Amino acid sequence: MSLQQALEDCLIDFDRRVLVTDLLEEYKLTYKEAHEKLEAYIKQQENSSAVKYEKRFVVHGMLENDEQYTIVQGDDKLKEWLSKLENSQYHLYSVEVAGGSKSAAPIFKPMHNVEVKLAKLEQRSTVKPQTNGVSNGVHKPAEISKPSSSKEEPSKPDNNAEEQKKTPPSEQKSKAKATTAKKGSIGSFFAAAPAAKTQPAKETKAAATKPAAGSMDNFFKKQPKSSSSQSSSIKKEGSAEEKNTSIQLFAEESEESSDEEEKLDKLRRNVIGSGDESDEPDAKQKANSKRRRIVDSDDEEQPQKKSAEKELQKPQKQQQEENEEEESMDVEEATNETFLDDDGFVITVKAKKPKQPVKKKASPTTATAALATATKKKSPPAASKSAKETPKVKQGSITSFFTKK
Amino acid sequence: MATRLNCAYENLSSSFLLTTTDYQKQFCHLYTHRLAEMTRLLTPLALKEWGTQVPIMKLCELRGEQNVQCIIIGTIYKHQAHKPSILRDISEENQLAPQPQRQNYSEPEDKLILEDELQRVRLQGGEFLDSYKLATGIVCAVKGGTDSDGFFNVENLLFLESGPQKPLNVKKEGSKLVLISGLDQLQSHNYVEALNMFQYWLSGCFGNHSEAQTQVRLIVAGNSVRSSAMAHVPTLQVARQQANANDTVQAISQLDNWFASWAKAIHVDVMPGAYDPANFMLPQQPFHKCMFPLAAQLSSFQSVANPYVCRLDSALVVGTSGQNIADLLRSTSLDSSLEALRCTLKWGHVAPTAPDTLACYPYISSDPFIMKECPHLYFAGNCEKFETDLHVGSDGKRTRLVCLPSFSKTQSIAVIDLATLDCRQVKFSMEIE
Repeated sequence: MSLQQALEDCLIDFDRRVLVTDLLEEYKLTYKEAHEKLEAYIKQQENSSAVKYEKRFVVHGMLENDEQYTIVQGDDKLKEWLSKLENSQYHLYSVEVAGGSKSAAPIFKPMHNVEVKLAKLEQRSTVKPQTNGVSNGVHKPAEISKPSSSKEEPSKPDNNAEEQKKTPPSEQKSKAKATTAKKGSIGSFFAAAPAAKTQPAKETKAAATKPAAGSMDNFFKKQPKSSSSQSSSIKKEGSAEEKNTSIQLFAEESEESSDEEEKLDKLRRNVIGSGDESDEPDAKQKANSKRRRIVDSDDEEQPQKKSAEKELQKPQKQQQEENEEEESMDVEEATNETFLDDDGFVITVKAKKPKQPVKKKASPTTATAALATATKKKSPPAASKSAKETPKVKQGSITSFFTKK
Repeated sequence: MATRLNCAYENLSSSFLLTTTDYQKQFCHLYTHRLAEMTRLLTPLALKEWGTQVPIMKLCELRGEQNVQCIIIGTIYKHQAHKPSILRDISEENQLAPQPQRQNYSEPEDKLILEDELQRVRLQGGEFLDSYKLATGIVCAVKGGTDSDGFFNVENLLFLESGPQKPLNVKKEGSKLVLISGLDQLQSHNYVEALNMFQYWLSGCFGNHSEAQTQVRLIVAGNSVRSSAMAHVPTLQVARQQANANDTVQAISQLDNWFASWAKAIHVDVMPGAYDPANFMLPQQPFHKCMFPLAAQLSSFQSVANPYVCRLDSALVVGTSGQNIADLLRSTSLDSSLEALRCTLKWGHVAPTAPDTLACYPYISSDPFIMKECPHLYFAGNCEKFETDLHVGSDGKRTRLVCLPSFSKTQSIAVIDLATLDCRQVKFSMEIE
């Protein structure tokens, strides 16, 4: 549509300020054309109807050896500036209905319609700069989600049919798109490698990427499928072929962490489920969604927990038995105790948190230190619950505390 | 649709691109190399100026002799009582709270010392020695003699004057260079109209069609993101820092859009500035192309180093984002940015106060700031106001000096005719009640 037609059809709203530069961008005109058409229209409108327009002009000329471009409002100011400047010229800059509502603050829009162009404007060969993990802050979720799906896709060529059954059709479509789009990309590079080598690597990669995606929805989807046999088979394959060690290591870690995730999640469900007493299906659904929300809100803590869990795994098994007895004691001691001693002084014995003994008992190696911090961060809900339920500390526990010291 | 003039372009800033990043080295190497290199360049000039009658000597060769006329080439060290000193700041003996930095720490009592490779001597010389105009790090040749008090009485001074200059090819239609600095995107909401006028002026919309065709290149001389230091709020510092970081990311994203649209109309070179998200030390390295994903797609856009050297047609263009001038103004009693710019041209060194009071990479085998060829256009961005002059040096060398103000403050830019070296300011303003 041309500017003339838009003006005739009253498609341009002059209640707000209309910049000539905006019009030339929209209707792909030169400034002169846009300015002339708009000026003619406004004159016509002012003559035919009683509508008054508030006009701003760009006046330019020379002022004390400097070139001056000034925006002025109204005809009086325009005349004043035209006389002030040497070799002065003017152009219409903006128009709005006089006395209308106050226009919004102007926003700077970069120009697209260029009157004087470069003779040779070339696009660089690297059309999409490879950010290598660094972005300018403009995140595009669609682009981020694509690579993850495309990574998953080639990683399980054998399980494709199974996956397609489980995934909703919308996801299937996107995956199909990803496979077609990925020709010639890094996926095809891996596909070109010997199949015997690539398959386990791809599987492990997929295993690694899934938890990285981090959403609990994916985790729930995965749960029924995530049998230990599958993970063990991956491990076996990985150990049989030790060439791509970095990926194997990553895969092992991720598998273990997912097991831990399962345990944690079961614990959480127990805790949340214990409060849920309704038997109706609707109520169950509500509770489910509630649970989801609660679990999702915990997602942010996942990376920390995961790393803590990794550190925990080995030492936990060894020390679990040793700590069991002490933990039960510590749980009992978890409240402050104030009493009068023989001399009449008030003595307060501060509650001892269940983690502290672990910290103290921990061997000086870094691994155990990490364990201590991890246990500090991750207080199992069951333990905290039991801590709340513990009765007031008995005299015997205090004495045992002092003897320990 | 009209097209712009074609102009031969050569980027000569490769010496400012860091190939290694070793910050463990001492700065003495830089001074040593500066002295050696400039001594090599100054020796023939001194011989030409003062003849062979007066010998060029080292300080150690004087051996305490008096009234010996000689020429000594050395580096000036200006002893200033109030010069910022990190050692003094952290000195435990003083037990004082850190004092705010002075805007200017030049005083009449400042002492000038000349250092060569081995020794140093106090300079005195009345009218020949404008101590208030000199700064630490300048390499010069002094003619004079020692006296009984151990002073070197200066009779004359000689500077490099930026080496020889290639002649300009005069064309009928002179190419024009557009300079802008201090875009300060974060404050751009205060001058939207000026910015809008600027871009359509660049595009040749305001009846300046024919002139726009001759404009061949736009140089953005630093401080495009912000033109002042970030506000440091002691409380909620983490939150403030995060907000600042987000602001910067947003600003870069916006600038990317601006540059991408401008680069469709004209070649755009973007230099980093003192407050831009770039390295602090000079030479500042070009912005990474990932910072401008849209603009970087166009071959007409490029990020360049600060300082920036290029040749357009036959004109040699040298410029900085203004840190060198601002630092020189702090350590001397020079009146204006233009005088400071002129002095650096005369001294033959873009940043003489680096690395003393101006952060600079610890080069060990070169000093890239030495001006070995006299530029036709020498500019500094982010100055207080627009100033320009045609400096005529020895042998009729002509250099257009331009002090470019911050666009955020003055809404003005500079246009230089590369054939005639004429320069004018273009102002974009708004007079609305």
